[in-house]
Amino acid sequence: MPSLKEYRDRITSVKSTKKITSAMKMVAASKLKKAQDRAEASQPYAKAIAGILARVTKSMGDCEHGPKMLVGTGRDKTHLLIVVTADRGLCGGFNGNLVKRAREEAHNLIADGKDVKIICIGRKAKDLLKRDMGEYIVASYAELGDKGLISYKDAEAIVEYIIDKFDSDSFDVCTLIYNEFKNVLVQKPAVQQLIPFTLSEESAKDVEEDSLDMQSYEFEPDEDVILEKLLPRNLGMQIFRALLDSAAGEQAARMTAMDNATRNAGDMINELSVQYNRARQAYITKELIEIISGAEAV
Amino acid sequence: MSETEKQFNFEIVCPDRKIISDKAWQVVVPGDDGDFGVLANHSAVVSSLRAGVVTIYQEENEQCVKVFVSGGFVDVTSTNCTILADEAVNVNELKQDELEQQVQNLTEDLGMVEGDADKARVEKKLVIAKAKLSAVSGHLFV
Repeated sequence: MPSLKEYRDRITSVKSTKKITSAMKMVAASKLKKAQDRAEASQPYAKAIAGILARVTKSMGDCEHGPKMLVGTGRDKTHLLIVVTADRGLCGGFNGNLVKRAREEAHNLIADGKDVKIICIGRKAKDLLKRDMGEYIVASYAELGDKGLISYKDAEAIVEYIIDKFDSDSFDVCTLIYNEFKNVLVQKPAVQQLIPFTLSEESAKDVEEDSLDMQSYEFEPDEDVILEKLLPRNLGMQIFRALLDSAAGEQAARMTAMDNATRNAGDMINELSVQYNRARQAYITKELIEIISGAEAV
Repeated sequence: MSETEKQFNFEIVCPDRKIISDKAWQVVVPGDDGDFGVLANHSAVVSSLRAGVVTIYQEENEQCVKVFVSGGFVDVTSTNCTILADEAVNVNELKQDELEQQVQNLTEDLGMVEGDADKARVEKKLVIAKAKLSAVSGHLFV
């Protein structure tokens, strides 16, 4: 049985752990608020660009002479996976689940005989993938944004790299894997194809709705030229949105994880206190017995 | 036509925030193929923008607001006009001396950088800086 001092030491250490986790929880909560606001602020632009894009692609019809980014390279050989995680741990299964999903995706592609290339965004992605998938990683980004505040410029740098690789025919299909921020309690790994471009169901529906006045749309300059500029923009926006979603998700996941840790620490302190008191009582009883039996012997 | 029918909804949005969302009587936007004015009941147009100044008249014969955009797109329908700007700043907030310095620095940089990608990047910045400078001073810098 541990001595009284050992119990006391353990209780003190769990208490200070509890202090740390509850502080981290509060920090995460305030950062979450900020991250959520930023994710919300990017909504109007995302919506507007999706609207324009839907209209332009719709007016182009099903023709196959569009830009490569829209119709693809005509091949399906090399896949580029962009894996977005956080830079830091201590946020529950946030990074682990995502990387697991990415690994699954990569294994499936490899099993189908495709070539796989991976871009890691966030330090954890690289840390977790480099052991078994190191040979596929072609680029990695970490510590994005100024003090964790991601700006559009960060996404732009990544897009520049992707477009450069696409233009030099380094890959055919580009897929984004990131944690979608559903709500504070749920972040779900999401897989989204970026190149060739596919209309999301939501914006496709929007276009259906206003398809009546479709005919009257004019394009200046013509559709091809606009698309040429619009697609990289949209790519940037999708990645920017994924980064913001992931940043908000990270804080939410950390908040939940730290809340659990704080509660567990509390339980542990209660349990240890009971054990400590029991041990203390046993010690006192033992001493009393010693004194009494000592007195009786006299 | 009543006053409200003469106005339309006008928005400037950037990737990270909404800059302006208001009613407007007329907006002049710097399209890639030349500036054009938008009034209420304009025919539906999607156009790309070059770096330049968006001029917003909230009401007829009123003072205008000038906002610099570094490029992007505009989506016009009969009741709405949405500008998707890469970057947008109010012209009043631009400082001429700072911009002159910036243009000078970038021109020097352009002579020094090597590689086509870097060169294109600096050139793009230079075009934007020069457009900003023209927006502030009212003269054309090319």
